[in-house]
Amino acid sequence: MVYLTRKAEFSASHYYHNPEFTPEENRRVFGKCNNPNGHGHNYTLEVTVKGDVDARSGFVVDLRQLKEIMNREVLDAMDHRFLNKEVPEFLTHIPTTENLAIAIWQRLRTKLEKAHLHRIRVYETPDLFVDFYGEQ
Amino acid sequence: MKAYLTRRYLFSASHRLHSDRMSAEENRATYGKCNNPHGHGHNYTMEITVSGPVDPRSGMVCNLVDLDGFVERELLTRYARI
Repeated sequence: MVYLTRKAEFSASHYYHNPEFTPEENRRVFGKCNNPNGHGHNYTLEVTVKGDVDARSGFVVDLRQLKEIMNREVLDAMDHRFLNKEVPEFLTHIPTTENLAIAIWQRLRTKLEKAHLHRIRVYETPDLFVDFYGEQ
Repeated sequence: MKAYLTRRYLFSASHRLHSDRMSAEENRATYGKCNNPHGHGHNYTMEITVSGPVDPRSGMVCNLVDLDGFVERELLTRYARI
């Protein structure tokens, strides 16, 4: 079993707001992130897949195919977007780093052929990141 | 859905490695330059990882303001610049 990680960067804006909260609760729970005009991050995404090394190709996963899937499913949909308004998952879920990692997992999981998705890591800043392993 | 959130904190502190149970020679042999009685400093990087279900109301594993407050109160004020 070998683990392979591919990294990509994208920039997006968002804000945190729960319509079920009062304005005071939203401000208390989300602080500055509750500003409805949004704010941006330079995100770094790490996608780790695992699998056996194919005896014929020497690959765990076709790297070009993985790059194309990441570009199509994540970067085309999220890079330079306002996540709350332009990414369907975040019409109903708050676009926190946690939910971003879960959404990216769900977008990629069924698209990979031989390799299995192992981990999605999303850095919101170099000092803050979330890992999701598909656990319920 | 269970997620893991990691936050990185930087702090600086000084220390000296020395055991009272060893002779002066043993201390020097074991700890080398770190046994200097005047101490020396490091810039430490600390990563704290918390895990748990993502709260559907907040979208978070752990409120960052709460985590930062806890780390500042319990760790950074205790260990930084000592």
